[in-house]
Amino acid sequence: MVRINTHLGGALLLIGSAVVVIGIWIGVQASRTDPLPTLVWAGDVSDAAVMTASPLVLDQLGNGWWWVYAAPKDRERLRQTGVRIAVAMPTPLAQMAGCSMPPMDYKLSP
Amino acid sequence: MTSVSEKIKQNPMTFALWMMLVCGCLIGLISFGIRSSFGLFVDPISGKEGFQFGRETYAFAMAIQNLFWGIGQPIAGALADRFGPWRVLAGGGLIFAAGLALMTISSDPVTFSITGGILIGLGMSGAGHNTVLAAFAQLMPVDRRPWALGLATAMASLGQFMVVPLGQAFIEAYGWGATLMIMAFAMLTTPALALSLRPKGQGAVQNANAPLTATANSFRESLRQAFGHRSYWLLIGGFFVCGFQLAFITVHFPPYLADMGVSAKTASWGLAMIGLFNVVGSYLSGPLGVWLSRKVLLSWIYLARAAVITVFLLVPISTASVLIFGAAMGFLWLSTVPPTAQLVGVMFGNRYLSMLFGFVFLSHQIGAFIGVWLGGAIFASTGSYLPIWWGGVVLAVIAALLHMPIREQLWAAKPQAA
Repeated sequence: MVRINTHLGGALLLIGSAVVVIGIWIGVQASRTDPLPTLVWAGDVSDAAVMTASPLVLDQLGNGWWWVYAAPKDRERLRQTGVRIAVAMPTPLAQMAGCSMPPMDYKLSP
Repeated sequence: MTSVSEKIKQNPMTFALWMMLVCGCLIGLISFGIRSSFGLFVDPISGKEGFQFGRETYAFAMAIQNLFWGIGQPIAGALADRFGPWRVLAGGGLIFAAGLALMTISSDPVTFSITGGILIGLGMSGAGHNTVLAAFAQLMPVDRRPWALGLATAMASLGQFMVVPLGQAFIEAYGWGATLMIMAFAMLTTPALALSLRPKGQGAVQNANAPLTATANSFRESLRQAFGHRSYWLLIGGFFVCGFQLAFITVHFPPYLADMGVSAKTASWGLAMIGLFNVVGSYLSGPLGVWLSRKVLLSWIYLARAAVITVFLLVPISTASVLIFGAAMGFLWLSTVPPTAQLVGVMFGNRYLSMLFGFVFLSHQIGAFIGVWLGGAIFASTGSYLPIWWGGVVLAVIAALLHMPIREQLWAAKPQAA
């Protein structure tokens, strides 16, 4: 019988639970069609191309990193332009990471 | 003298014990996580998208919820001691789920107070992590208990830290009503998870050398012993301070930082640091109860809280000071729970631990109520949070002193003066 060290088992339980919760969160976010703050890495793509493909640029962080406000179809369009990473983030986390928020009355064009 | 490592070798963790541990911890994670998410529903439910009865009605229901959680805890504990923690966990989970589901149709203040207040408060009493702690204290082998209590508290802390943003994502994606129903379905897993905490029919538990011990032969006698025992009162007094500090900081820390000119982003990070380090501190406090005397550990925790708050108030406020304060307070946040529960078991055995720890927890909730209320009242009258912060420092020192005379031994018929 395989014996698991108690502290290793405890750590695995904590980490495993955290991974499951994050997985559920990603699944929920993937099901959303409305725009969310999106972290973009476009190291090989020109600034002009990113700005054209993004409905709203929130911040340009440098070294190819951007915060943009994008719906799933916008993220897909960004990827088609050669963007490597385009990941939606929960609004509170994005705010904590320093992302500027769009104006309250901002509406994306259909 | 047998060392801790030798004891662990004597009682290996069997598959059944791991199952019990994992299922109990998951119950704590789900129920504590959902309970921590109610702040997210304030505006959606009380505002234009919801029942439009205003924040005051919502807040009143939440106050009732906390009250019934505290009052219900000793009752749930007594039921757990009588019928087994797994039955109380299962029943509490069903009541909790019913409360969540019925909240979606409770459009007037009275019914909302009943569903969101009374039902969920009672559900938390039954299916909260306090009942899980009591179950572990009764079912886990003696040498595994401190670690198991620490892990269960850490999992509840993890739920508090991670389920809240998940709840926000659900509300944004599906709306508040659907989110409450999803949470209700999550709580419906509690009865199934609780099955693994049944003491009968588990070879692992029988092999675990975990007999029920008690200094009393009945509920009434155990209550008489506990409330006639000075050390139990000292423990109750200390846990009151714990509730006072945590509730005050939870509610009033963000507005205090806003008043001090700290950005909302930094305040969010400060709260996140509390949540993250709470997991670490809760986990470590369990095993630390093996190596240190529990009362000494508790005294150090309260003294450390006093020191952390004092330094935070004295140094100029900055992003670094907020983050360091968050990490330090998080480390000390729920780390009081495992040694407090262990001390109740040390003094009176584990037979009536659920009920006796329930009364200790009731004092925690009364402290929480007073901490939140007094924080608001003092701010309203003086325009500053500083008096209540310094009051918290004084209370922490008093709590540290209160734990020192506790007699960390089994209750005796004629205890000597502490």
